[in-house]
Amino acid sequence: MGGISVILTSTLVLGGLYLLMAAGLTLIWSNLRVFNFGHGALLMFGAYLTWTVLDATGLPLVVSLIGAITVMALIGAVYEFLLVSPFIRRPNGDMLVMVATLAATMLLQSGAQLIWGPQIRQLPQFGDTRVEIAGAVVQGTQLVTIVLAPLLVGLLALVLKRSGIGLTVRALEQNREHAQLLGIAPRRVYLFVVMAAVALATVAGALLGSMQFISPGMGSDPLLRAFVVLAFGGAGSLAGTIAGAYAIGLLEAVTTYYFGLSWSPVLVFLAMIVIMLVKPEGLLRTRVRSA
Amino acid sequence: MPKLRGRLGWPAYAIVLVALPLVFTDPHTRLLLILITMYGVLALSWNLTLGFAGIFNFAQIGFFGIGAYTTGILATRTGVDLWLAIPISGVSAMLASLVAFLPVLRLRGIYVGLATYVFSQLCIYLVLGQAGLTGGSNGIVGIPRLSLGDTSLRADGRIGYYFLGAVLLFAVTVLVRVLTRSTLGMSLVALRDNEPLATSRGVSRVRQHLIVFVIGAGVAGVAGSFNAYLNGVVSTDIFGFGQLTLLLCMIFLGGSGSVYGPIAGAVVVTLVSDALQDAGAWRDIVVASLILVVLWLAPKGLAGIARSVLDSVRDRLRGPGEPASPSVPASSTTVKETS
Repeated sequence: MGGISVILTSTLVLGGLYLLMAAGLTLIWSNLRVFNFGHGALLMFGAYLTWTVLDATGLPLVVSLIGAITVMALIGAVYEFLLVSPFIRRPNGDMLVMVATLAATMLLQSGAQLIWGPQIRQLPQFGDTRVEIAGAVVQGTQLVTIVLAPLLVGLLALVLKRSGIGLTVRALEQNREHAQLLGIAPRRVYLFVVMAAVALATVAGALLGSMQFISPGMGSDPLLRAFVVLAFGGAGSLAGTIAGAYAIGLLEAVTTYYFGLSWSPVLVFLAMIVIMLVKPEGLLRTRVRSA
Repeated sequence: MPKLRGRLGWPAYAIVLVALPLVFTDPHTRLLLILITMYGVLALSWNLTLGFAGIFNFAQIGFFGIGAYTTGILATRTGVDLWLAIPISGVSAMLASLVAFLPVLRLRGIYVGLATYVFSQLCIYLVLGQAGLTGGSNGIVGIPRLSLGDTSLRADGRIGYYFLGAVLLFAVTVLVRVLTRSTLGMSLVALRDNEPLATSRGVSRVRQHLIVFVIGAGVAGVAGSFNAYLNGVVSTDIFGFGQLTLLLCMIFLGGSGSVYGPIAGAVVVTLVSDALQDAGAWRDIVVASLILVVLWLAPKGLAGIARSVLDSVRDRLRGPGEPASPSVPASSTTVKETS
């Protein structure tokens, strides 16, 4: 029985992390029609910033995280202003945005190396609550991840559904021309979307930086998984992303448990190829959107 | 004029390639020249898919690495003739490209970018997972050097490697030029600029994209093999993010969608990267910023700038009396539908 509960908890932890990443990516995708290749680097930057705020002020970890989120949201606004909006309207703009966000990844990674140096940092645990489920112990950051990730993404879904800005986001997503006719300015929506996505990535970064280590390259793995999640759940649908995140978490937990750490990404990627071949629009999605 | 230029261009190019190592004889500059030929080959091959075909192919680094690892494994673990390992590496990269192409069958645009990016990153996991064959994180060391008869290619400031690289670069430049002028090349541009129209005229997207994808991968595999022999070492760094941005910088600085642009990009970026070799992380920052600045200010890169300068000079030479020729767009860019 131990095996199953270990798999289950790591599914929930991994799924939660991927959810935080993929929800932001999917939000950007459904509105801006681009993939943000810099999302992993933003996660990393958020983790470092949280560490800096914590280190410099000595405030509680959660407060430091909120401070880092605020700063990162501003960085997200700059990101949108410099990397997305100059290119998105140009012919072949999606490729330009993609290349620009790849360049941004390089900038952020080397920037982090310059600012924080080569030594590896780590955040303390988020709380020390300890829960035991069927022989598996879940505590600290893992527990927080399991609870917080669905909570935050649920909050995002609620904002999208109920609030005014959420309404404009969805309007733009569904029919760009019509939304503009109604006086919705895409730029403001883009800004909101990128800032929200960056905030979620920061939370993921802080959680990851507390469970593992903070390093300039820490974002690339979660980014790859988030891509697979999008392929699985169908980019552009929040419900599909939620299901996809936990499905990939489960797949990874199971394959890691039975085949080992180095084979798990290969198997996860194989699953992605098969899904893309069989159902390019995502397993959990019926409405096809041309890319 | 254009006819004369077309006839003189290739011999001039060959003469420059032959003369360069004779002018620059110190080992460091020679090494730079070798790197330029290698990156030139790689950037040219990548530009086939990324620039001309408009496929969001981010797997090229993967093919490059697969070529390098194939050579590394063949040269250290089997008795295969060292020279024979070069074409074999090309073939193995081509086979890998068939796998990477699978998602392209049914995906479009940016999804392809996602899948191919994941593919090239996955190569790292595969190499680490197969540590028995690939040396895992230690890489493969002690790859024997190439030699021609009794002369090592390393002799005389690696001049042998330079000429091998120069021959490859020349051949690949011809290949790209021929390809882009062929019906295949034209159908690729048609697919890129207006896919519904192209397919309605009987162009098969999957077939044409597959052909150019596999050709590009083969060239990258050969370049990877060259890299393995040049360094004597192969490690997972070859798939790394640094290589990816370096090459993207070459292509976009030089001008994606232009035949010769990536070569110019390779020259500039290799020199810049070398000048900043001791600057650590600053080097990457400069390279990445270079990409962004080019994208902001000159989306057609050096090739676009050169073309517009040439056009304006030509217009001025023609004099005010004659009507200015309608300037041909540098590389056709069409207005994309916003869906």
